[in-house]
Amino acid sequence: MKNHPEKIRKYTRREALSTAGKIAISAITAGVIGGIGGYYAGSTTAVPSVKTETIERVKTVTITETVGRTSTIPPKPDKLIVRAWGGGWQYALDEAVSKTFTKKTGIKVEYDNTEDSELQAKLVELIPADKTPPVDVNWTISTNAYLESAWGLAADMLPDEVPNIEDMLLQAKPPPIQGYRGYPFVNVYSYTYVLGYLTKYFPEPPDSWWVLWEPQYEKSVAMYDDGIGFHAVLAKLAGLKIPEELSPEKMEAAWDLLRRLLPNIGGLGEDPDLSMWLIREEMKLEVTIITNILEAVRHGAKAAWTVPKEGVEMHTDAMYVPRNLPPEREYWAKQYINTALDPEVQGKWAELLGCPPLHPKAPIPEYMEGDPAFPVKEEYIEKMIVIPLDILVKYEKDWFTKFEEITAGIA
Amino acid sequence: MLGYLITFLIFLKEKTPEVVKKKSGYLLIFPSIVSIGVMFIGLMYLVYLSFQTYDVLQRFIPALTLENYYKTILTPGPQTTFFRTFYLSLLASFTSIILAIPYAYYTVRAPSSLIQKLLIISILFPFFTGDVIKAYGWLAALGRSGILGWFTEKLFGSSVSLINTPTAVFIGLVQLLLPLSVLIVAPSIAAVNRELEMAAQNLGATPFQTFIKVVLPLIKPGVLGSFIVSFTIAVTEYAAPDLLGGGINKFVANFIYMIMFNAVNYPYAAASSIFLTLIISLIVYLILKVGKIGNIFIRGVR
Repeated sequence: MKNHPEKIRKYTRREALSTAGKIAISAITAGVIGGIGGYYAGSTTAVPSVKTETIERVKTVTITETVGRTSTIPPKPDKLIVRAWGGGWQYALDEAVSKTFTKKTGIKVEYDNTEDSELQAKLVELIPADKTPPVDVNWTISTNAYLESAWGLAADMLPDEVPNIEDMLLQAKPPPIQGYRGYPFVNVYSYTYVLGYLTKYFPEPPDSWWVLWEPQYEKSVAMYDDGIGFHAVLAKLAGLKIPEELSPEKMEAAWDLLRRLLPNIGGLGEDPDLSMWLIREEMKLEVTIITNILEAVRHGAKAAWTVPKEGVEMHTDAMYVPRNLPPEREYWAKQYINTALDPEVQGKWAELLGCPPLHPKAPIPEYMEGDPAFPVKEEYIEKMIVIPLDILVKYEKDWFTKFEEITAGIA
Repeated sequence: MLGYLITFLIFLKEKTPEVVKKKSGYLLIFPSIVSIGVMFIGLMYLVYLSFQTYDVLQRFIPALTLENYYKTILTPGPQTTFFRTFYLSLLASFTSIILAIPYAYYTVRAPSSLIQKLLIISILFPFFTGDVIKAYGWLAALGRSGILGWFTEKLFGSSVSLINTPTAVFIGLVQLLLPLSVLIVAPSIAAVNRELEMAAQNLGATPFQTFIKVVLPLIKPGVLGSFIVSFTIAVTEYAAPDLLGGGINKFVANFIYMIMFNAVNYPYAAASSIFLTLIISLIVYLILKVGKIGNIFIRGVR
């Protein structure tokens, strides 16, 4: 299936909202996503070294317990600092979430574009030393959020403080983690790592991931510098069982495929690089998140995406409030996350990002329907390669290391 | 208040024994010793970390292992990265010296002070911008939609891009190193007695022969010193390989970054850092030894 972003330009949120049946469709599709969520978030017992005793979540709590004062609403800080990816990611967050939050509260939002992994290293040093973290809200990938929560870096979010959490789909809610009565983080949307391409080289979309290995695309393939979104695809192409055979020692056949791909890899980078290479036509094929293709298209690139027949990896991103913030900042940071989970905001954010929302009442952008890159229908879910969060947390860093070791050998 | 302080300082000076006064100059190097000491402690911590065992949840566990060094030295990927780093750094340092010597020579021997000032300003100007800005400049120039792409499109009908190639990294490195090389070599050239050159030319030497047989031997310590500085900067460079290399022409610094921040494998990153430090130290030692300039900083030998 060919997915031309020109189609997206014609779409407006107003059109979506004007359709009375939209909410109903959203509810149905969201229910489907919820099905995945059950699978995705359901496995909670395999992470090593983490105690997995049953933890019951607190349903209600008074605000006094959290903010340490008896007033119901703490004083507002001048601003909140949110860690965000740059480019189209920050744009979408700002337009959909931050502007709504500022309009509602009067609190300005600033962004810290420190890479999520760099911030992780800082938080690991600062928070155990009882220092104040540099950001009020950390927007990061779910595996990082899980690890950082397991390390005790996240503040507990109780349903009374962030009421929208309770309404979110199961996929949005992390498994219980030792030391938290509520939620240490919340997944805010899902997304897929699709096969992006320049339409001038592919009048018809490639139907298989094997196109990446074709000799005419020497130095023309790009992906993330840690290979995120591609490890399980490699495993699947190598004939490995997912998720049973994703442990590093069983992945050798997948790594051999990666070694064979090295002559065709022309770029390994982050989100802005992936967008820029499409805009400048430096790369013909990319393994990327749709957001980066949308960003490239906004800047004039003739690019599109497709879901190859072997399927695409589906992941989620998360938000959490780091521990050790002053009580008033912690409170308002949680309100920021609550705003991000609001159904209307979720719909707008999803539309701009190209990532399906995780609130069942959020309007699903029109362009997502009919496109298997967005897991909003049952038949599309079969196209997804879904790796349980515990498996991701357990093995992802090893995959990153292996990917780095192999791609460092590109001559 | 100030009066009391001055009185106290005068009193202190009068009462300080002569032996202590003579040695008081050493106090000036105290900040440097503290700085190097802190760096040394950090280095020792890296050595300790490099022998620990990686763990995904605890980051590392205190179980001694040589695996991190084994992976750094014997895995093909890191081997290629180390080779690329040293090869391109040596090449870029050598090129920048070759380009720096005539520039510095002409700057020092400029016929007018106006030309001299212009040349000095030109070489200082790049210091006003950071490595990242310079690399982005090249990114715009060397890409398919940049000047190079436009030029090759007009000339050959298809645009060429050097982005994500070792050539782009090399160009970025040379631009970074050239001003430094000029600034380090220039004082050596300025110290060469002009009459020696004139004497050589009076005896029939061409300007080129004069330069090779008279000037170059005299400025050798400056040239080698400049080469060492350029090389150590190049070999630890991060921005140029990252931005111009497109993730497929990584230097060791980029590799360490990825292992440390993306894979959160601190012991492996520490082992790679220590190995890099050892290799750099060895190469610098060999340059000092072969160039016989090891005592330049001690005796001021020229």
